[in-house]
Amino acid sequence: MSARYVPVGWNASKLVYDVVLLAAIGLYIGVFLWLAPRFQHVTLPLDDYSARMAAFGSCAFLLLTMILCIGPAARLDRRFLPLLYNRRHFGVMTTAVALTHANAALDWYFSYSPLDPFVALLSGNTSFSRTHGFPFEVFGIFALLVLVLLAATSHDFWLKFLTPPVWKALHMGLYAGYTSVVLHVAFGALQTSRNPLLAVVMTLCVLLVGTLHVAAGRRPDDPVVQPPWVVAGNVASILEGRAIVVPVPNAEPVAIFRHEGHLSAVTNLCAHQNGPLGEGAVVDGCITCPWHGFQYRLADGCAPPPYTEKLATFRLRLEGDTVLLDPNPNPPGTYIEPLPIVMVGPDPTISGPSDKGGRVKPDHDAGESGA
Amino acid sequence: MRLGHRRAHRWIWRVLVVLLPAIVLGAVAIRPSGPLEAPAIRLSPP
Repeated sequence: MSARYVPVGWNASKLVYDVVLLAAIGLYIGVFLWLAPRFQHVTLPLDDYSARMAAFGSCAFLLLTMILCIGPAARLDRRFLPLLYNRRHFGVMTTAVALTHANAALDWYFSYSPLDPFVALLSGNTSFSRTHGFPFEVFGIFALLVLVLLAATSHDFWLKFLTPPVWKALHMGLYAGYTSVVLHVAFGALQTSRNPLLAVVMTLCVLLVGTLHVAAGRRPDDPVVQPPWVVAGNVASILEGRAIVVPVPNAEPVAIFRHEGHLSAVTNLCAHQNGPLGEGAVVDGCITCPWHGFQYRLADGCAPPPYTEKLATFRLRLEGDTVLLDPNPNPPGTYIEPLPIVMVGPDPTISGPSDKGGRVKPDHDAGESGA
Repeated sequence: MRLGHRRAHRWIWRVLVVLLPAIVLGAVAIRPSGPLEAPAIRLSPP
């Protein structure tokens, strides 16, 4: 299948998301420029240019920190999922803010240089052997290149063109970019700032990002299983409209959904960006990915027309109230009759929130910047 | 997310959760103390 460019499909949720984000960025810059002169040190008077540079630089760092927090936070607590929905736009705006910071720096430091500003930037300071006065700009340049690369490839065209595994690996470059930003600030602003607030905020930010990722990574994956039929769990543990995720040795996990008294199993990987389908819900009779709202039919794993994505399906069997799974995947799009649940005695299952919300419009243009 | 990516994520963040705070705290520890630049001297007009 060839990759085809599809323009960004705006919807009301995306517009609200972007307007709120833009307003927050504007408010931050305004408040920073208003407050910064009140905290300037007597030995380091803050001019307008430097204040603007610091305002956009600190804003980009905080936005980047938030982007990196959204993924693990949503994994630990579903209430953060709405933030994940349009994270790609978050990333693009962060890149724009970082570029404004870089532009302000070039303007201010090299306006009067006889050299080209970019030449002056790269050749002005070559004290790589010193800690004080280390050319911290190189870390900023590297981080900026990473951000621009990720923003430029965040559209779904690139996701399809590069394939999800390659695209995902490329976007893990954000971790190197973030580390580079931390080094940029550590060898730059932290060396000259006399205000302890910067060091405190930096420490809290990096601790928050790291702790959230480690905590999300420690989340238990599930019960051990054995081939050919494997024990997937108790049927009562699957809430109506929700799924359990069953790990399969040496293969991707399988998500088993319960909907209107039937069970269906598909791969846990969304065909869009390998999102965790098992953490999603059944909305309007379709499995709905928690990341970008891509939808698939329960019986055959196919996205409803006009979309063409397909998931691998799996066979299921019930032994009493134990769900058994055949971990060998069927070809994507294979129809498997949903397994009716025949329960002895009252069903202890608590109803989930499925089918109560409106249809989730598949977010077919949205990629994501970051993890 | 694929198993390989998830494992990579876990390892990367196990390193970064230590490395990033160490960079910040190390930078604070090595920064020079005292004023970096002399205050601007303003002469009164003759």
